[in-house]
Amino acid sequence: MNIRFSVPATQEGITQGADQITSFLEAAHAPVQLSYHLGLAYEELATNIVKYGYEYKQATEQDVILISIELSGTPPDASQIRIEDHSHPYNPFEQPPQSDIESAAEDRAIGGLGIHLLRKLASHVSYERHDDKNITILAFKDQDPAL
Amino acid sequence: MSLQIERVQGKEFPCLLINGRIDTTTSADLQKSLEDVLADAAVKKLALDFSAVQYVSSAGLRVLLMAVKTLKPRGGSVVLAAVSAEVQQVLKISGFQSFLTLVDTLEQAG
Repeated sequence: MNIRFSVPATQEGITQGADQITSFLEAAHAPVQLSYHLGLAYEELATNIVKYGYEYKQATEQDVILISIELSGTPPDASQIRIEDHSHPYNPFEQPPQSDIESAAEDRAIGGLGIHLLRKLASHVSYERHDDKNITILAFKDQDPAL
Repeated sequence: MSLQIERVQGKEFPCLLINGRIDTTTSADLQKSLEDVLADAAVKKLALDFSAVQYVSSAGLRVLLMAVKTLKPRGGSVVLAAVSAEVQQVLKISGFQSFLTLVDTLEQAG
């Protein structure tokens, strides 16, 4: 099962997209963990786009985030999510890996945590800049969360 | 998508039952509730029942970290009860397990 849709590159757009993804994954009977990881990939990446992609330029109605999700397997056990946006070139995975995971609570800086989670949870991540678009793809497999 | 937050009575320390998704939209509601509870400087320990929480993003983790940062100087702690395997995996990957106390049920929170 697949879904492809776009939302405005705004905070309201992010909420709208999260609801659409939840409904799609419920209808597809996607397992809990796979649904969680896809939701997380969408939310963390879309939040980054809204927060950093449009930090120099106000997003207009033409500024949308395009989301495509492909589920494979019956019941679904693998998936890919593709997120495209037209903001300035921005590779989320170019940020340095989170270095203070082990540090004490009061010393921790929180920036980059979402991307750190995606790096660890996804089986594959990729980014390319093509036709003035940022294209980020993440793949996930349903697996034992205890692993 | 909304988040329900309910105060559980009968404990010596504040206990909140959280129900729903803790994401970029709802994390502000959780933050507000926790700030209200933590505004009482006598509060040292806070327990959150996570049995009905299926989803926590980095926005939710940020709120949990705020609570830990408030309680640690008071010699207190944040206890999470009945956390799902999926959410536990995210806490572990983020390194949050080292400063949160995880218990199986709210009764075990003390």
